[in-house]
Amino acid sequence: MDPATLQALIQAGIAIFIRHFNQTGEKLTDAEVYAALQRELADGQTAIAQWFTSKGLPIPQ
Amino acid sequence: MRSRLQRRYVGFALLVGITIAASACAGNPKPDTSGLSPAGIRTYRTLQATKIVNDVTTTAIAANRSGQLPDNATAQVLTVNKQVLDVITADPQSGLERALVIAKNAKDALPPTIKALVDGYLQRVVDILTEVK
Repeated sequence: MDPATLQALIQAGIAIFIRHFNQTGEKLTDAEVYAALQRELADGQTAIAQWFTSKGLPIPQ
Repeated sequence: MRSRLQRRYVGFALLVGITIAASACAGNPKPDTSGLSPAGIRTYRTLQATKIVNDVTTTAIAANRSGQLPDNATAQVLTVNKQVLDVITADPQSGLERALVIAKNAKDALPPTIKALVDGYLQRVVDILTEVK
């Protein structure tokens, strides 16, 4: 492989890595945050309900 | 003397090493909230509080499983947390203030028999709601 090709491959690899790294800083939208909140609320309610049910206790209203 | 190709390899290795080190130091990057509207930011803060409330729930259930927290004390924590989640669900925008009142009142009204056991759990809920409301 000639040096110019190798250099091009290396530069392309670095560009992909840096793009991937930059994307890990997730940019949120209103809709994503709202959906995440709904999921979190539902998860919390489920965990609480499961515990009361497992103990044979009524789920508080 | 190093060839041009060897120098390029060294440069590449240095660049990759620095990038990986920077990545490791960054840890989990904070989500970028710059694109959120004021209502979205409010929802984001509510989400943060809800995650902590759920973490308290998980911790209390784990303590109950391991025998460190009796059923009646666990039920007390989970009942308050459910009320907090209910209020936030009903009004994600302004439910935090009502949720804080609920958590504070519940903490103040704890029976002496379980106060020592439950106080820390509810204090964590009160703290996060106070911080984000």
